[in-house]
Parts: sequence; C-alpha cells; structure tokens
Amino acid sequence: MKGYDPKKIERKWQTEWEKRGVFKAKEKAKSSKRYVLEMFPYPSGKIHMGHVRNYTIGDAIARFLRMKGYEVLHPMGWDAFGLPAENAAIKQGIHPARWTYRNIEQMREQLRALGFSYDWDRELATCDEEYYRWNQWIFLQMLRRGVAYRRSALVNWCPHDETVLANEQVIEGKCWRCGTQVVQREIPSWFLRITDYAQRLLDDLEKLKGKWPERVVAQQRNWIGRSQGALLKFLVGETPVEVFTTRPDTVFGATFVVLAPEHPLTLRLAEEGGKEEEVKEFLEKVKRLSTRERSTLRDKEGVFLGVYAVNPATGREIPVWTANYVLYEYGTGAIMCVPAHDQRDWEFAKKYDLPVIPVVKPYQGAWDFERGAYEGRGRLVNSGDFNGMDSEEAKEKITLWLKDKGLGEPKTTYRLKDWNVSRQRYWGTPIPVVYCDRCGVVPVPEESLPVKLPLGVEFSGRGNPLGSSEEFVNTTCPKCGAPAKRETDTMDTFFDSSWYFLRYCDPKNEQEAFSKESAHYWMPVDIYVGGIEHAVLHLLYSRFFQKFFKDIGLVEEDEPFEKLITQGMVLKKWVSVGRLLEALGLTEESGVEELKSKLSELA
Amino acid sequence: MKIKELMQEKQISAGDNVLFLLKELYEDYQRYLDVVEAKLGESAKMSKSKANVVDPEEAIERYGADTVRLYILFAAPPEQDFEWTDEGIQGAYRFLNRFWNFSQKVIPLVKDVSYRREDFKELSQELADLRRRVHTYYSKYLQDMEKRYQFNTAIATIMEMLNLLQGFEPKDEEGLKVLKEAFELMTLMLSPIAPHVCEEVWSQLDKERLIVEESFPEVDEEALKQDMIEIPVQVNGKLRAKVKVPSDADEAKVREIVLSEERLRRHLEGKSLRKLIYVKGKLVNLVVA
Repeated sequence: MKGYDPKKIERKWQTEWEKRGVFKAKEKAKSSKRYVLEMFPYPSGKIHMGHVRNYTIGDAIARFLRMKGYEVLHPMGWDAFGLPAENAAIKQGIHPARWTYRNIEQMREQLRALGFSYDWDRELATCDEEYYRWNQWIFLQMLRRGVAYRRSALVNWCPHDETVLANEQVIEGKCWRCGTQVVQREIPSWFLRITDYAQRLLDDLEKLKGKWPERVVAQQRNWIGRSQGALLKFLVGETPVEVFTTRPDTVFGATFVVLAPEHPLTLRLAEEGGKEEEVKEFLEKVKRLSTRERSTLRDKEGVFLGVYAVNPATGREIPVWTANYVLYEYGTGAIMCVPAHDQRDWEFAKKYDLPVIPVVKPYQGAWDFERGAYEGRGRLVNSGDFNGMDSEEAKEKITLWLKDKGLGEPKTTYRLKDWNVSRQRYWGTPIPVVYCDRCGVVPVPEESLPVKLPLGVEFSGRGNPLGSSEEFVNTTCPKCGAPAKRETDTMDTFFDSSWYFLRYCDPKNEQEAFSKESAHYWMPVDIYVGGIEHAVLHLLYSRFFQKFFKDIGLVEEDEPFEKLITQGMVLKKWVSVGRLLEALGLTEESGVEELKSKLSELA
Repeated sequence: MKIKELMQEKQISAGDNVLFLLKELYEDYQRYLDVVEAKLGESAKMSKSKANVVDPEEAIERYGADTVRLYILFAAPPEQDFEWTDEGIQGAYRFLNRFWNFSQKVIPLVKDVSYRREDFKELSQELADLRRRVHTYYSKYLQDMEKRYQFNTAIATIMEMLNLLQGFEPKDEEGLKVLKEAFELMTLMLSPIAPHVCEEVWSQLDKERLIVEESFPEVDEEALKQDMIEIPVQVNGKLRAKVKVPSDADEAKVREIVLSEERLRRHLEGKSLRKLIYVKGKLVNLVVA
C-alpha cells in the first residue's frame, strides 16, 4: 500500500484541472449561476496566512456550489496600483510596473500551489491598460453627469507620502498607510459626489440585513451618519449666518454663535467688528493644528469678532465668535451655542464668561447648571409660547415656527463627505482631463482613451513623478488644438476596486467596460469573502459605483454583493523579551547566566 | 555579562520576540521556545514585527496544500479568529493520512462493486442502520456547508463518518455496496475542502469523470426513514390508531405527527386536548375532554 504523498498528488491534479479547463465559467441559465468572490489582493509579492484563509473559505464554497450543480464564476485578479510599487522604485530603482508584474507572477504561483478553483482566463490586474482605460471611461461618465467635479478644498494631506487622503483613509488623525500625522492643506482636487447617493446608500442597507454581518451594516450606517435637524438663520445686520443644529428645541437658550476659523465670513465680520488683527493672529495659530488635534482639543480657544447676531427665536442680540473647536468641514461651519444644553458650548461659555440660559428642565429632579450642561430630554422653559412643551416634540414645532418667519427650515445632513479621488502619485490611473488656457478644463475624448502612464519618469521620492514627465504633461487641447497641459493627478486606487467584480463578468471586452448582458447574467456577487477592515472603504465605494451604473443603465441590481462573509484573523502565540524577563523576575541589568539558570528551571 | 549587553551586541530590543534571545543562548533553542510560549504566550495577529508569522509556502511544503486548507477550515467558523498551532496542523495532517490509508484499504474491495439505490430496499437491520447514519451525516454536512458556511462542523461530521466506516466490516455483497456508497459520499464531501487527495482517490475508483465534475447526489430520504417505529396511540385510555415516528423523535415531534393523523381527527373533533403523554418508543396517550 502506498503512503500519502501530497506533493505528488497535488501537482498532478493542479496540472490536470488546468489542462482540462474545468473551472472556466460559462453563461447558461440565470437561475443556476453563482458568483463567488474573494477580495483581490495587492500584489506585494508574497501571500500571507490571511490571504490563504480568505481564499480557502471562498474556494471551498465555490467548489461546493459547483458540485451542487451551479454554474460558478470564481475569478481572481490583482489590485495592482498603489504606493508600495512606487516606494520600491524609489528605494531599489526598479520600475513600478516591473516590480508589480514580477510580484504578480510569484503570487500567482503561490495561489496555484493551493489548488484554488479559479477561472484564470478572467484574471485581471488593475494596472493593465485594458483595465484602467475603463476607469478613465467611468470617470468621464461621472464627469458628464456632474458626479465627478473639481474644486479647491481643504484636504487631508500626508506630509510623508506627499499625497491627499480621503476621510476614510485617515485613521485617528493619521495616514492609514504610514501612520504619519495628517495635516490640512488647500489643494485643487477631483471629487466624486457620493453624498448625492447618501440616502440611497443608507436606505438600501435594509436589503443587506441578515445577509451582511450586522457590524458592517452598523459601521456603514454610522459612517453615512444621517442626522435630522434644522438650518437656522442668525442675522448679523443684513448678513445671515446659517447654522445647522440637531437641537432646534434649545434655540431660545442660544447665547452666542461660533464660526469655524476657515468660514469665509469670519474675517469679513471681524473687519466689521474692528477685530481684524486679533482674529488674523488666531487663524494663523489654528492653521498649524491637524484635524485630529482640532477635534480632540482639551483647551477650547476663541476670539470675539466684535459683532452681534440676532437669535431668531428671542430676537435678542448675541455675540459672534470664532473658535478652534468648530470645524468648517462639518455642517455649515457655524454653530449656535447653547451652553446650558451642550457640554462643549458650556465649557467655552465658562471660560469666556458667556451667559448660560437653561431652556430644558429635566422631568425628574433639579439640574445644577453650574456643574455642567443638561443634554437630555425634558420640558421647555424660558421659551416663550413653547414653555411646557416636551423637548422632542418642540424640535419640529419650533423649526416650523421659524420657517414661517423665514428664519429656518427642517434639514437632513450626513456625516458622509464627497470622495476626494485625486492622488499626487505616479502608480495609478491618470485622470483623463486636459487644461487649456482658452477652453479651461477639457475631458479627454473617449476615443482617445487610454491616457497611458508614461514609462520614462523619475522617482525621486518627492512630489508627483508624473509632473516631471514633459512628454506626458504637454499635449494639445482636444477642443481647440492649442498647446495644453494634462492633469497629473492619478486616481485613488479604491476607484479601481469599486467595479472590478463587474469587469470579471466580461474581462476581455474591448468595446465596453463590461457588457450589460454579462453583468446581468452574473451579478450580483452571491458570496463575497474578505476582511472586516473594508467595512466602510471598499464596500461603501462599491455600493456607490453599483448605484451609479444602475442610474446610467449598465446594471440592474441595486446592490453588488448579496451575502458578505468577513473572515476572522489568523493569530499565533508569541512572547516578547520584556515579557519573559518580567515573568522570571529579571531585568535587563540581570546577568545572562542567571537568565539561563532560571530558564532551565522552567524547562 | 549582563542581559542588556548581550541584547545590545545582538541588536535585540525588549519588544522583540524572545526567539531571537533564545537563539543566542542555546543550540536547541526550539525546546526552550516551546516551553516559554506554552507558559507565557499571548495570541496576536501574525506580523513581521512580532516574528510570529507562519509562512504559507513552508506549511504547504511540509504538509501539502490539502492539509493547510483542511486545518484552516476546521480551526474555526469563518468569522472567528483562530490561533495557529503546530498541534492543529499536525492533527489535520494525521486525519488526511488516515483518510488516505483507509481509501487504499477500501478501494480494492469495492472497485468492481456496483450499486443503485434500489439495491438498498431490503437491507438487514445492521446495514440499514449504517446507511441511515451515513445519510444523516450527509444531510447535516449539506446544511452546514450551504446554509451556514460552517466548515468546521461539516469537517467534524466527515471525521465522525470516517470513524464509523473504519469500524465497519462488510460481510457480503450487500455490505460492500453499502460501504462503497458511503465511501464515495465521504470522498465527495471532503473534496471541496481537500480537493487534491479526493481527486486522486476518485481516479483510483476508475471513475469516468473528475470529482470536480461530479454532482452531489440527493440525500436518500428512504435511508433516513429506515428507523421509523410504530407506536400505539390511545385516546382517553382506548387504543385508536398506530402511527410511525422516528425512533429518536422527541415529544414535540411526536405531537406534530399524532395531531396530523387523519384517523385520530374524529376522536378529537369538538373536544379540547388537555394533555399528551409520550412514553418514549412505547405509547402515546391523549387526554381529551
């Protein structure tokens, strides 16, 4: 009897499966299809155990479903643009393209050795021209419909990677890649209007209940962050200052208004109020802080602008300030301050000796407003005709009352911001736009796609290498033919991964990103397997793209991923040197011999 | 020499894996590392900085891809974290060896045996019982795989099935048929998880098709029914009917069967059921008023 010899067996059957093409997916009857997908990897050059677990789970499902008689699509590819390739170019002098394709070769072999049942005919790499030309095409469709737009904005800037980061890529104030403290900078950038889709992205989460892990659904809901409230007008003379509040019930208690330092009205009002100098000095100081520092400030600081605004409810004049704890990016960049019922406002009011007027009385017990703000529910007091009303009920009533006076309206806001997709980097998809002195911003015509990445560029480690390529930058205007400059920003690589699952349906199509028929046949992805770390990034962007494609008639489903499995981590035991010494009652000052004798007791 | 001096010389810091220090102290450092890890080890995500990474290529080289796959799927349900251990991967490897050795014993016996489901209608009690257990395992496996993606319990089921079959000695042609059906089912069940070894075994059975081209057969409901037992049903102490129930049915299941029994309807009509007494495997008594 022969012994078990996995080496011999495994090679043999991997070759045989490949030879016979048994995993090639064919379009048959819709009812019998299953699309099983695992999140494609970044080609770092070596698979790790996390990949193996991810792909083993997917493969077992794919193989099982195939044997249950389904026609299974189970593809694999490479999320191949991104910074590491560029860093390799800087450090090792190897071109990002060569580095990436070499890594892909190695990783493909490693995956093959695991016997995964992929349809390798559908393999794609996002850095292939045949792939990224469709990124550019999609971008042009978005541009035409106003979903992509350019504006100068305060953005998250990583000083180390010298690039802009999306909000989702700033983790606790630090760059998600390198951990460097992120700072704020004003830069012209390309944005995708994902906020137009906020309500749909939120509503359709209902469809995913019971099919996606609750945690992921909750994280997305939280990230979209819908809040209902009111937009109120506080008039400074003729100038309205608009504030968004989720607590219109407390408007009678608003005793001052604060504008974010970056608010365009801040300097203007300071000039009116004769406080220009002080405010300018304050703004300079704030600029040096990162977003993180701004939002976790212990010490709230501000400056009076020297002007007063009219509280729309009481008609009384209240002072207007600017302060470091108000962020321009959130809401309208201005807030009404109710120190009696908001702790942050309370702290600020105490520091600068501003009045605290209680307008909500707790249903039970008394509240000492000298000790802090009361943020809970209660009965209205000091609120004119609304006295005695329940604070929850008063939210709507007061808003409508102010609406009648032309000083407010109900409003829904979202925490979700538009997605900044500009990256000042080389190894990504060039944004297909040209700047012409005469015609302005001109989209590259579809028939001229792809805008290819030039190969001969310099990788110095500073700034965007694309900008250093004369042959790339200098072009002619597609409209008027005059000399023009190309956009040198490339796309956030999350753009690439927001639709790759659609390309797998029709990966060889040279005329379209994918045919409607193939997408209709295979979509949605029936089972998607990947890491929980993509809960809001990739998984939210992909849902957004799917909805955009639906709007332009390319897909029929609202949601791209039917069932989501987020696999757990692979852990391994370890002991640090410090822990061992501590457990043995030793320090680094102890002798090596002592350590050895204690260790032999242990063993 | 102070520990600090040794650490400085070898560029080891307090946050490094103790492995690097032990390597400097002992030739057979692995022995010490095992003890230290067993006593003081903390579970952490594999990372280069902690030097607690298991390289997939090395694991495949040592045990084969099927073992790595089996271990990963057996260690925990997909959503849960799990800790990679040497014992774990070795256990998976041992199981595949056991499966392989069993296959090499069984294949010569059953290779030329052919069977159809109709052949199993008149089985002896022992064989019927074995088939019932095999199809019960199979049906549980299908549910774990398809509805809940619980590979770990699906694999545990395959392991129990192997134990069952290893303890079975076929005495006649009927026995060989039952064994062949069971062995083929087990191989099909294992194949999405450890595909290579199953493909090899399948080819040794002289099959026309590859196992990846095969389909799972339906669960044989008849096989599951084999252990139905007949029990008398009394209404207020009088024998009114006999019903068939699964021998391991609980009271709720028996209640469901009894109350849907046509012949008992008229005895219950217009009356209310006060109590149902089930003496397991023996008798049902309905108290009505």
